[in-house]
Amino acid sequence: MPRRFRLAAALALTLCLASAALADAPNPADEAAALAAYNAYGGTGAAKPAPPPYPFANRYKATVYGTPPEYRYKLPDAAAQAMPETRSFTIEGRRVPELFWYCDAVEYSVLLQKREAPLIFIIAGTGARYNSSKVRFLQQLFYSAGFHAVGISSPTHYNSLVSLSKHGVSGYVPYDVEDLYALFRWIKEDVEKTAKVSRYCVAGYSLGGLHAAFLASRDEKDKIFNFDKVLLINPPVDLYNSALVFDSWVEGKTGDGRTAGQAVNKFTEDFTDFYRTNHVGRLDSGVLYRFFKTLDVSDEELRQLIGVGFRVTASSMIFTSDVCLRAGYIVPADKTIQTSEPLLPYFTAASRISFEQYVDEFLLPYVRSQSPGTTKETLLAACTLRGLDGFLRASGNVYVIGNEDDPILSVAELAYLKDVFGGRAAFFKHGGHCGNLQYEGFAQKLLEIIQQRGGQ
Amino acid sequence: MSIRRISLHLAALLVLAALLCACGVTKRQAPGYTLPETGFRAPVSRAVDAEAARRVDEQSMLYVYDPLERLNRRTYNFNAMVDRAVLVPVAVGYQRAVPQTVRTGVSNVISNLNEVPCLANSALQANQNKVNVTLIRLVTNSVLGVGGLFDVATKMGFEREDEDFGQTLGVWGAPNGAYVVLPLYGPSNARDTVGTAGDMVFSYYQMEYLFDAAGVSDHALAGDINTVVRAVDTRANMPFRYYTTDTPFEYDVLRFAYTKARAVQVQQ
Repeated sequence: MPRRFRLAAALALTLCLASAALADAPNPADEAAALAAYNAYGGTGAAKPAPPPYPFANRYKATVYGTPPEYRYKLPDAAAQAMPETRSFTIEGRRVPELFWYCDAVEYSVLLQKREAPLIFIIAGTGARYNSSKVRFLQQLFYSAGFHAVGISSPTHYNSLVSLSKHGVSGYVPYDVEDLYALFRWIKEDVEKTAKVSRYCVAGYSLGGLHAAFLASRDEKDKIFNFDKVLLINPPVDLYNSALVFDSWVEGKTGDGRTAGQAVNKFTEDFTDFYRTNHVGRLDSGVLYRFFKTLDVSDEELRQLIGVGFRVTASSMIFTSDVCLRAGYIVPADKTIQTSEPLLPYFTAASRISFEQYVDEFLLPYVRSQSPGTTKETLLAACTLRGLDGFLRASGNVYVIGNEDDPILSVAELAYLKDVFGGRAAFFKHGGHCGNLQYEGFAQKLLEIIQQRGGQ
Repeated sequence: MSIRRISLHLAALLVLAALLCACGVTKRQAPGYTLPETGFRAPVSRAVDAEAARRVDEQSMLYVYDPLERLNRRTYNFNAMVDRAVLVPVAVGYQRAVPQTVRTGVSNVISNLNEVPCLANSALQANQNKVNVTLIRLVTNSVLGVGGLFDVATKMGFEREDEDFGQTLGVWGAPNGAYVVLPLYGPSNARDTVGTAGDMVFSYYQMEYLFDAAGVSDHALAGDINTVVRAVDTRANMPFRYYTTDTPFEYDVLRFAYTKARAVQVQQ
C-alpha cells in the first residue's frame, strides 16, 4: 500500500527537480541512506588518486542532473551518518497569516562537534531550506573537517518570509542580509549555551553565496563574528541579471515551438514512462540517474526546465509576501485567505509574473514606501557583488569557488569574479550551476579552502 | 473493527495531539520583527476574479477534478497536525528504539501478509504474470523466509508486485472520480476510497482467519496490535513530511502527483 504514496512522492520530487537548478529538490531520507550505503564501499586508502573528471560537459545537463552517485565525494562514515538536529523558535507577538499556521517557526539545523571547534554557517540558495540536500551535504562535509556546521534557509524561502523576515518581502539584498544577520546573532547565542566556538566562518551557495559576502561586509561594522573565512559557492554577480536570464528561458520556445509548460509535461511523462517500464522498487538518486540516462532532451528544453523551476520558486515567494503584507498584488487586499481555500488560481496568477514585473510592481514600490527616493537603479545596485568591489578586493579571507560554464554568469561576470578574487578564486571547467557541488574534485577543493591556515 | 472502536481511537489520538502541540516551542523577543501592518498596497493588481479563476484552473498543468476541495483541505490540515504531533514522533521513536534488523523483519512480515490481498487483486485483474510472481513470493518467503521474516524472494529476482483493489477497479475501467483526502490515510479518490475499504475488509478477515489458526483468544486485542504495528511500520518507511516541499502550494502539487501516480499504477 505505501508504494502508491512513494510513487506520488517520487513524482512530486521530479516536479521539484525541474526546479533543481536553484531550489533543491526536497531532501528524501533515502538520500542520506544511499550516501551512507555508498560509503560502506569506500575504502580508507592513504594516497588519493586524482578523481575521474566530472561527467557532464553540457552546462544545462550539469545544472539539472547534478552529480551521479559514483562521482560524489565519499564522506567519512562518521560524517555521513551524523544527522543534523533541527532547532526552531518563534518570534513573540509576530503576525502570522492563518494560512501559514504550519510555518510560524524559524527553523535551522545544527551539527555540533563534541569539543571546541570553529563554526560555519551555510546559507541555502534561492528558495531552498536549511535541510535541502545541498545544505546537508555541505554540513556533513565541513563537519568532517572539524567544524560545527549550521544550516540556514534562504531568505527567499517562503518559510523565512512568514517566520523571520522583518519586512515580509525578499529579493532586496539589504533586507535579506539584515534578517540573516539578526538570525545569526540569535543562533550564536543559542549555540554558545552548549558548545564552545573558537571562531566563525560563513559559506553559501548560489544566492546564498552572495548573501555570505554581504554578511561579511555587514559584520565589518558591528564586528560580532569577525568571520575567519567567507566562502562563496557558485554565487551570482548580480541577482537581477541572473533572474532575467531565467525568465527569458521560460518565455522562449523550442525549435519546434514547444512552450516551457509543455517541456515540463514532457519531462513528467518521460518519468512516468520510465517508471512504468522499469521495476522501480525504491526511489533514490541511483534510480534518478538511470532515468536521466534514458532522457533525450535538447538544451532548449533543459533551459526551460531550469527557468520553470526558478519561476515556481519565485511564485511561492511572491504569493507568500503578498499574503503577509496584504498588499493586494495577487490576492485582493481586503481578502483573508482561509486555510480551506483553493490556492491554484493564486499559483497560476503568481507564476505568470516575471521577476522584472515583481521588481517594478512590488519590490521597488515597497522599498520606496520605506525609503523614499529609492530608484530602480539604486535598488538594483544594492543587489550586486559589484557594490562590494572594494571590500572583496581587500579581504584576503573571502573566497569564491564555481564553474566557468555556470549559466547564471555572463562572460563578463565570470571575468569580473576572476579579476576581483584573483588567487582566491577557484573555477572548474564544467559543472554548470551547482551541478558539481558534490563532485569529488569540487568537494576536495572546498575542504582545501576551508582548512587553509591564516585567513585573517 | 467497529465504528465505535475507530472513533475511540480517533479521540485518543486527538487528545494526544493536543497535549503534544502545547509544548516544544521556544519564543524569542525580537522587537521590530513582529511584522506589523504597514498599509502598503501594490500599485498594480494582478489578482484574478473568481470567474476567470475557474477557467484558468482547468487549463493549469496541476489541475485535478476536486469538487470537495474545501473539505479536503481541512482534512489535509488535520492530517498534517496529527502527523506532526503523533505519527512522526512515534515513527521516529520507533526508529530510534528498535534496531534496523528488527524493523526490516517487521516490514517483511507485513509485506508477506499483504501478498495475499495482492494475489487476490492480481487474480481479479486476470493478470497471470502478477499472480505467478506473487504466488512464488508468498510461498518462498513464508517457507524459506521463516514466515516472511526474510525477503528471500526479492534476492532471487522476484520483485514485489503491489496491487490493491483500487487498481483492480481501475483496470476494469472504473474512473478516478473526485479527488478525496481521507482522514489519517491521506490522498485518495472516489474509486480508491472504495478500493481501500475493500482492502481493509479483506485484510480484516485475513487476520481473523490467522488469529483463529494461531489459537489467539482475544481477537480485539490482537486486531488493535495489528493495526498499530502496521501504522507505525508504514509511517516509519515513508520519508514524506507534511509542509516540507518548499512551496505553499503543496496540496496542489501532491494532488497532481497522486493522480498521475495512480494512473501509472493502473496501467502498469
